[in-house]
Amino acid sequence: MTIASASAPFPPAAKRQGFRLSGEALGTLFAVPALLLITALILAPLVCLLALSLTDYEIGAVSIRWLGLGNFEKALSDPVFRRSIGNTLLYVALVLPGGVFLGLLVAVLVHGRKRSRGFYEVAYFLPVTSTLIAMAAVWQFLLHPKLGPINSALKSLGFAERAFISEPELLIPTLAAIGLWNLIGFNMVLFLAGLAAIPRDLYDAAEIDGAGGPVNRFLTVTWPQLAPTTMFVAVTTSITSFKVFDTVAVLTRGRDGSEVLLYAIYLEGFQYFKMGYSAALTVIFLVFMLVFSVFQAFQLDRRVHY
Amino acid sequence: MLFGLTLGAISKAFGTTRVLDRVSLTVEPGEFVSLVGPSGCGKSTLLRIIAGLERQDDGTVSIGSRVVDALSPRQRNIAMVFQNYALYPHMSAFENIALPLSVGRLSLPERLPLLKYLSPRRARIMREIANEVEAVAGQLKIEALLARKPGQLSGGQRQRVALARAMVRQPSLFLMDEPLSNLDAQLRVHMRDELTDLHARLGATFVYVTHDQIEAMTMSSRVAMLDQGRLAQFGTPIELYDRPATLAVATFIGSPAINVLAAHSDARGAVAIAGRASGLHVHALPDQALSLCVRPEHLRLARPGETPQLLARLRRNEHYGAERLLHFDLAGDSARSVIVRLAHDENAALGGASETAIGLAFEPQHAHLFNAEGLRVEALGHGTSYRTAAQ
Repeated sequence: MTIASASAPFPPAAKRQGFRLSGEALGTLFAVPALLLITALILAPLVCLLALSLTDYEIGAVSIRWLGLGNFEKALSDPVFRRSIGNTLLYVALVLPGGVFLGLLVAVLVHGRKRSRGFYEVAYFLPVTSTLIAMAAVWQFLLHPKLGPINSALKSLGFAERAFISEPELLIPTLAAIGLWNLIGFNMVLFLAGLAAIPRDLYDAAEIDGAGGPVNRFLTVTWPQLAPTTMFVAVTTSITSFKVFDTVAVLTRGRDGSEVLLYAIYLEGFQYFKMGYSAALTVIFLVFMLVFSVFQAFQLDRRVHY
Repeated sequence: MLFGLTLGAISKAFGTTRVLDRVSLTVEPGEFVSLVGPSGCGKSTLLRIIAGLERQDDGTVSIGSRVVDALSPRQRNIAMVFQNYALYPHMSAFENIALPLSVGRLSLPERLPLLKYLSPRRARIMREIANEVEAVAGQLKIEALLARKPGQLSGGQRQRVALARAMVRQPSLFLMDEPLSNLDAQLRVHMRDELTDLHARLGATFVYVTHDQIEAMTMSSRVAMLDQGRLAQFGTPIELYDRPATLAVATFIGSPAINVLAAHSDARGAVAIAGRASGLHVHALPDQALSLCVRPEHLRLARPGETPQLLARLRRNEHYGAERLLHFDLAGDSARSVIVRLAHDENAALGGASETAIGLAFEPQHAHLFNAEGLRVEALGHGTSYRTAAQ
């Protein structure tokens, strides 16, 4: 009686009409829209890029020739392009550790503030919100060999004045310093979020265990607890610094040996209209990014999640 | 080495909120003392002050005969077990337990990656530490878990690792901040047992914070109940149960909770509940509103011919096997209900009719009276001139 009345609202399963999909087919069906989007927006352009990189296609050219790996051979034997790879790697080598550690340092210091915290957060974050192209004009003035306040400061301290944006050995470090200035605030915010998530109990436990001093506390609790954040910051920072472009475009225009990867791609593709060659350079750029990201994701990820 | 603990008039305020108000108590060496009270009563703050994680505004903390107010938690040589275990998630159970020792015995460079291999004495010290860790792990039966990280351990196993980390330094005082509240009910009962055993085996002084009165009652040698930052009562569990000093203690200790009845004393001090004589007298407090409390096991159905002190209607009858709880709504005041606890074999002539009021009775010597401020009032029983008890 009770069983019959309870099942009454539901029609018997046998009466259901229409065709049925197996779980697998249904799953595929659900995945199709995403698959189409990924194909249209990411995979297809990538294939086009790879195809282009094997040709001598130029914008407006009437004929198009298959070059095979010719573009890549040319690129890797071109001293200017090789210098741009070297410059980019040097830039990343300066900005990646600097951006991570300065971001962490600033975050730890700001985190300890109580009333002044809001002020410091805004102050360090301002460069992130400003447009680097516009701020480059300010940097140009600041770094000017004759008029710039940085050089006057150096001079008053007894150092010789330096031309920061034309002396070849200073070019990339100067650009890296500007890149850091632009980046630290962002990393600080990420680290602050990580710091806020550390349970207070752990600091209490560290203090009871005798690891309550600043150095011990940092090594026992803060740094290990921030490992996932650090991993994320390192990946985003390396991607951002690999893509350095605007400061080069505005401050040096690749003069005096300050070429970087993205600027080289831009010059070949959009100044000289050599789309095929530019596509080959882009592929090289992508390979760098890929190797870097995969290494970070697999190597670090294994050690930072508990 | 056994140490006691003395708190001298500890006060603490956060901003304008006073969380502790002149709390004084003395814990004898080797004692198991529970700090209980409802959430927000200040018990955790008091424990943090004993640990040295928080500074009191006023008063002194002494461990043994030494005033420790100026000492860091480490120097106080206390150990603490936290509610969320507070294990370092990136370290194995072994490393967690070893940390209090390695921090104390190795210099900073000897604990850093790579640099540590430069120290010639490090290997010897690490061997000593490993021996001590394994000895403690053996006592808690977690030797097999030492290589695992906290994320791979169950709640009960984590709690044991946290206990081992506390024990490994052989502290003079164990502080525990609701260590069992994150465990499921069955495991909690089991760990209660183990902690009691551990206390007996170590013979160390335990201060144990809990909001669970059953934990406090079953494990401690003495219980300190805090209420709104004040020490409401400090005594053995049975003292708190049998002679609660305040209404807050009476209602907090005991499960099911004590029955609280609104009572009134007339001009001659005779105490009545809803106009019915209770059999209690308070000559010193004529014409006052009082709270009269009776434990469920002291309330019974009135015998035939007896004048009941309460009239009530039966609402629910819960059978627990060994005992029975009868829930009554008071006649004329249905907002107030009382619980009567009967043994399994006790016969209750309920008559089946829930519409008719049933008479309930209690012996006057089992009732507790509290004045409007919630403080205990001594009463005289009817007829016999006995006092409930002498302090």
